[in-house]
Amino acid sequence: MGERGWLRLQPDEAPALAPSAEELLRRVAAGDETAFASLYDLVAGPVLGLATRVLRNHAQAEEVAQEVLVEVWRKATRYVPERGSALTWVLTIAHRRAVDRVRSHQAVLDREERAGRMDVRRPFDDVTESALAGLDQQRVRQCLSALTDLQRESIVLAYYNGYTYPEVAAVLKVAPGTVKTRIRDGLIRLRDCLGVDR
Amino acid sequence: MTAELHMLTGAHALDAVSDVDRAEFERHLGQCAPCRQEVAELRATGARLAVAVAVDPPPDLKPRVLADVARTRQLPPKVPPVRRLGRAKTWQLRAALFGAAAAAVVAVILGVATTPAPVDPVLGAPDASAIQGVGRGHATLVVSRSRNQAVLLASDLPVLDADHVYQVWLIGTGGARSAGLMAPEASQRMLLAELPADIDRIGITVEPAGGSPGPTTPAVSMISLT
Repeated sequence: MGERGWLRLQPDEAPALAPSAEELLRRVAAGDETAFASLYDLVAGPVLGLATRVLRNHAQAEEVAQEVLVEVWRKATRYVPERGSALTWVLTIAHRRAVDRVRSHQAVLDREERAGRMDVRRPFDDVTESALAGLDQQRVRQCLSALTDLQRESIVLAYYNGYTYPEVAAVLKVAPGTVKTRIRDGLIRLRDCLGVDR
Repeated sequence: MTAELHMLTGAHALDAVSDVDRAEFERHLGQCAPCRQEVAELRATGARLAVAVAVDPPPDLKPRVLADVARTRQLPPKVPPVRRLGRAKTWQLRAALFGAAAAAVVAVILGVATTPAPVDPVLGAPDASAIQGVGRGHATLVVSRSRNQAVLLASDLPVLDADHVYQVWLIGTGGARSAGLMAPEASQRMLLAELPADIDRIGITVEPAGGSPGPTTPAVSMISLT
């Protein structure tokens, strides 16, 4: 961490005295199951929350979360710290898994049904949030509300619903190229607003 | 083209792309350091959206995960799970490399060289091993597990009409996902940017121009990784 590092707000990090997720993941890569149990405590909440958000089904979300967490154990040796934080790595795996699940053939019907009851303007109202979510949620909500409606709706539908950008375009009745661009410029604004570096 | 591909960083970071788009964009990422940086930042931004919806896991999830972990073997960091090269295989690999180099030269002379994929690091990796495909033409997969990459070398595949293309599939427990379309030249090499661990076969099928979301015809060539 740089000399001014302690001045920065980094909600992704564990409390100062506990080992960081990166350090835990390094130990997990060496086969340390105790370190994995500690890493579980840091990441399981966001992983399950994300899976629940994307799948809208508690049983399936728990199944996916369990698969993701075991994959984190299995692939820990493949984590490259230079490419991003451990939490981002875990949540990238989680999002991909959840999305793969909703895009599989048997999920198509579920998904059409989900589309009928989603409300993209109020993405945070129906979850039992954890303390961790509470810390981040207010800031994320503020930053999301600073986006244009099209940027926000595109990002929410893509990330929380697992839609491809052409599917988002069909829902919002705009051109796919427009959604592609709005996802990118919206995320860049969100990145700057949240102060994300990697 | 590059500028337009670059606009895909956001959608790619949120997994909001089809498998075909993803494969194409990941090949582009291999050659575009600023794009990799942007994708990393936008993925980290996406992760904040996940943290914002974190929930308290039910108490029985942790013991279930730990029990699974206790009986799950971890992936090794370097040692490739595929066969090591014996002398014969090394010779085959050299022959394949020679063929690929010759094909590349032909492509350049004919002026049809498209995007130069960074395949050489894979072909030259210390753990590179070659696997022959079964089927029509000659398909060879050179795998480097340490780089988590593979190069597909194909030659002598039947020539297709303008309405059809060869599409490459990564096949594993989760079904087949597209690794992209092959250029129409008779001989070519194609970088598979990522070789997920659950993939046990690589298949090549004939698909309508533009590709298909899933394979629609029997494979013309199949390469088994196990």
